[in-house]
Amino acid sequence: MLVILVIGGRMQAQTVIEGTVTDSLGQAVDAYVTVSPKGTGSIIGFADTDAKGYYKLQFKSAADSVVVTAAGMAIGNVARVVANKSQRVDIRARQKAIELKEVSVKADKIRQHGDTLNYTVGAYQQQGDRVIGDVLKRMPGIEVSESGAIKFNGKAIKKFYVEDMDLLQGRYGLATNNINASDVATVQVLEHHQPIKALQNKSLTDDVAINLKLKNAAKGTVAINTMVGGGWQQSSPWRIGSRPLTDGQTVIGQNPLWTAEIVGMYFAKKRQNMTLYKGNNTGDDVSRELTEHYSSINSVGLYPFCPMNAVMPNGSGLPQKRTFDNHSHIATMNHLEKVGEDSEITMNIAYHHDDIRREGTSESDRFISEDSRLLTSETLISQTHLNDLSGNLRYMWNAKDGFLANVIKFDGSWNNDKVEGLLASQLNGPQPINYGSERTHQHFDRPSLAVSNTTNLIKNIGKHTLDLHFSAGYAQRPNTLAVGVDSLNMQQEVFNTHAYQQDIDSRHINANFHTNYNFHFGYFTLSYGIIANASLHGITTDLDGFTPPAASGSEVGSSPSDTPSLRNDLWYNTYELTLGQHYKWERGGWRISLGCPLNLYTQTLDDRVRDDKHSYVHLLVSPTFSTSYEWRDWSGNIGASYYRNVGDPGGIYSGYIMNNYRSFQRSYVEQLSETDRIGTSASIGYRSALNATFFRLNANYNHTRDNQIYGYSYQGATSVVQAVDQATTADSYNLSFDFSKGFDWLQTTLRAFGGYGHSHSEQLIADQLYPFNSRTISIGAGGTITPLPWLNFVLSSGYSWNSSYTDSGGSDLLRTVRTATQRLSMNVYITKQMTLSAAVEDNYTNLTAENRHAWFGDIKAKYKLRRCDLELQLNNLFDQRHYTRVTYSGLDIYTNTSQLRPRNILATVRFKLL
Amino acid sequence: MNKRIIIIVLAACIKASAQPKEGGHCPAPIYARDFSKMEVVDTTRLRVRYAFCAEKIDDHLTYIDLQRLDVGRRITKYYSQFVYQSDSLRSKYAKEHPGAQAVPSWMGVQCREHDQWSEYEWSDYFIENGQLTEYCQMPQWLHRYNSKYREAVPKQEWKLTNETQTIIGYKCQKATCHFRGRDFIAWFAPAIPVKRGPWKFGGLPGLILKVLDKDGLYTFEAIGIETRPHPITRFKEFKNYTSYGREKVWKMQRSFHENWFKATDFHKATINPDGTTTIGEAVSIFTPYNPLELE
Repeated sequence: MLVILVIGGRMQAQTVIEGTVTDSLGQAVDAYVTVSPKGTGSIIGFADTDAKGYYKLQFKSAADSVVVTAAGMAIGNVARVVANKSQRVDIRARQKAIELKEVSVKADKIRQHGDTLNYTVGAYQQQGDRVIGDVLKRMPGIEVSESGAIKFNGKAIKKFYVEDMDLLQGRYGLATNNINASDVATVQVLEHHQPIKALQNKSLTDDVAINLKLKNAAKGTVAINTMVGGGWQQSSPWRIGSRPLTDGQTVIGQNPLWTAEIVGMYFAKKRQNMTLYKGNNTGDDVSRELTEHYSSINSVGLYPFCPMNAVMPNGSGLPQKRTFDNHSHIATMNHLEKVGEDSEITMNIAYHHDDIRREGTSESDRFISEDSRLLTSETLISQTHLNDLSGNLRYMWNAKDGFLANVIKFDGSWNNDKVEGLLASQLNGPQPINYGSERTHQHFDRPSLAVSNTTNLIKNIGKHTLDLHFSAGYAQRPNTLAVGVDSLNMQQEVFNTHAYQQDIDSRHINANFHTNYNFHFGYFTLSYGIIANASLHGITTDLDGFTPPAASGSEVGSSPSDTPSLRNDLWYNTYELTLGQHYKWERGGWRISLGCPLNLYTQTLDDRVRDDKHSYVHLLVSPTFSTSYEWRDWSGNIGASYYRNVGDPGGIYSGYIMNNYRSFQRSYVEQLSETDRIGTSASIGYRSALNATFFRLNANYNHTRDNQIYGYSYQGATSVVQAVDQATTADSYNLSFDFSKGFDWLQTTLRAFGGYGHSHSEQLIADQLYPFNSRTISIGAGGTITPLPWLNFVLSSGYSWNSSYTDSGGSDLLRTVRTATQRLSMNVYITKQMTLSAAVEDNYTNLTAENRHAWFGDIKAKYKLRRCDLELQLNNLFDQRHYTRVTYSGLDIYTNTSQLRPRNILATVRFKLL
Repeated sequence: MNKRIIIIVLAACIKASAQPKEGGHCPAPIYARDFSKMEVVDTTRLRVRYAFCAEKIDDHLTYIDLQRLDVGRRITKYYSQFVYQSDSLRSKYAKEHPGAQAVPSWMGVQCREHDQWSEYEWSDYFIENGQLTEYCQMPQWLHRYNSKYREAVPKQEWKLTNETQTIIGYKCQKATCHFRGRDFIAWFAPAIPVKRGPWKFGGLPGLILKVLDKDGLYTFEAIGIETRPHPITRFKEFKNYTSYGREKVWKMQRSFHENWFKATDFHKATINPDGTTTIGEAVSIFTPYNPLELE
């Protein structure tokens, strides 16, 4: 163990110094020996001692004498000055602790930001990122949806702050889509966020919040951003009735295209404001930005019952930009004012106005009996007028010893739909009937109003916390659906009036309270909660023009003397008291959890038409169980759950209600609906990060039992639906897999997935019960590849087969819907300022007579200048005029053809006014 | 439980400036090591703190890490003080907040890139009986690859020079070596009779107070020396780490850095209006990585 290192360039004789290093008792010590020319302090050689304390130094030096130093933790440094000649030097050192001066650059300063994760915006910002939402998408763990909703590690965020203030009260899409990325210094993710100061050291949450820290330059100044744009497309007349209904070969959208926005922002220490206007006729849904992603306080949900709607052209499955002919305007004002150290007032007002026109043809192929099917074809043009005004006013006092918040919410809308249609229907089978064509006019007037007040008071009293949370609200929908059917009007010799008119006046009053506690014992976690809820539904309905089928007694359960009513006047109230309980055990790779909420569920039904008062009390138990195990790259889990649901507003009315002009329904059969559902699932997964191979196999089974079934009968194209007191069951089985593999070569990733589903259930049609089965098989594959740093391709491809048949039915019923989608997209980063993206997509379906392949292509180019951003879009390159989608529902096949916005070009310029 | 990692990523690459000096991209681990299960294995005679890749030596916030060399009688341990402190605060936090289903992902000093994993921060090195054992905690969502390996204490072939400089008050002499693919410059203090240094460096006649590679990518510089005794501890959970050879661990760490997205089966995702998530195409983003050990 003699290592000798020598420095110095001159030719000198080699000196060898050897000896031993021992302690005062002559025992060898763990040390090393260095040598340096006397007076320099510069080590020119060193050697370790061996187990006996022996060392040997070999070095070359011109110095007359050298310093030989024995050093070690036990002895410190012991130096001897000796002549520079080969010799033996034994060193005997006394054991002593090393004495070193303690030094430190400066005391460690711990900045405790326990729950905060900081992302520096500059580090994640990339070419083409304009607003903060663009950058958020790139931050690890953060997901952003199109509407701007944010999730962190799969968890929806519960608060969104700008400079620690919640200005937008849940409408944070306004912030993510409008605040310039370049104005934000840091995005902070606040985990375990407790916004209530009085609870900060008492109650822990699992909530995540996001806070935008602005750059100093963006604070305390008014910023105004604007965007204007224009474009061209082939146009068509706008108003309903301005041209005849055609075979659907016209286009939607108007010329010229325009889009505009102006956004004003002010963020200061005591005051924040964000006011904006956005509008366009390009199909872009700007109202998405007004989505409330969270409620600033747990206000009650208000859902006045209204089971009706106009039949609209719908269901293309394509992005709405392709199918919407719109005139959208949104305006919103949000203001926050700090009125004291701990208190603030926030006001948010939003208004949305829209005129939306859609056009399409829907064809349905419905099962009537084993040898007959009802075919309907309906061409529809709809125009929807939307006017929504909502506002909330919030006062909050948030101090260390207490918290008070009061929120008044208001929501009003005056919306209506006008639909013009041409309906043709015929019955196929042994006795074919052609019902001919009908012109239909629907007018659905659907205003609604909701107000609520919520108060939350939290007060610390010594070690205890008093938490009072009460919320109550009222909502009303006085809605009318009026339908004109030309032939009916002629039969009745009544013109310019409506064939059917359904009036509903629906009220909902709701109030609730809840609380929760957790306990921990070793590996166990026990959670208990109490929920109290009262929900009161008042429903008054009146239907004109409909002649109900005669009460045949057996399936219509009302008293035989009555013909089924066309009116409802009832109150349906529910009172719930729930004891929630949840147990969890976690250890090693195991996790077992069991939930078993007990719900004392009281319902009262006061039907004033039937003069019937009933009250029902149920104790509902809904157990859930799951267990999972993870071992290295493998994981597996199984789960099971059971729930029972008794009654809902959709199942308590005995008078007919028009769902739409082709469907009339009554649902009460002397008892409440009861649904039992058992679900089980299992999965096994493998994921190897080393070879980037991932595989998962899932299986699940569900069984549902209802105590009543909805029976369908048809009068021409009109279905009459009644609940029948007859139990029915449904079973479904699903098996799916997902496989992916990543390669280093050109950052390639491949993925394959597939599934098989089978379901079995029953349909009651014209008093005949049909058990039926449906089967779905789907497979798909895709991949991404980045051949050059500035070029990226994404390819995906999917196929599915869908078929249904009855147990007893002939093979002619077995029709298979085959659909396929292929998509290729490409991003090119041409220069640092210029980005080009292009996508091509093919949608195939086998059941349409023509246009089985629908090709779409879009190109977008972005160019960033110093003072403004330019964008050019070329949409629907192949000028696809309509698109057909086929869907299966039970034994029925629906084919929806939507008119599309034709090829169009749109250019926008975006710049900062202030 | 499907642990597939999902996110919307439109990027073709992650900007190099987002990463620690050495490149690569891996988010920091989620799980804190369990402080309630720790054994004391020795007592320090000397504790040295090193700044890892400091931009300004007098500002902790500009460090990628602050690391400690604990020299005991039998055992020498080298580890990250920031990660140790963060894990300790997180353990304490979990204890004080028993209702938490998860602990914060980082607590303590908000140093540079603390949301980024690096094997030089999330590894503990123990030297005992001439053997070096490395316990490596792996990045976010890859903790099942936490691993350990053992090798003979690496020896650098040092060349001494007579250049000197003073570091935290100690006169240091310069030495150079070539080690595992890189050229390094070290400054050691002959007055401190300890033949160790930061990370895997040692073997010079005096404590190494500063090491840097010739490309200037990696630096370790001492900022404090203490002689008060402290317990040297070892987490019991290290026993559960999987044993691999150094080469395999090195390959894993490198591949995680170069394409963490590929290693974690990262997917684009769309959040549906009902709150569920639809998983989209897989993401693969290569980020060049330049590790400390090139071989």
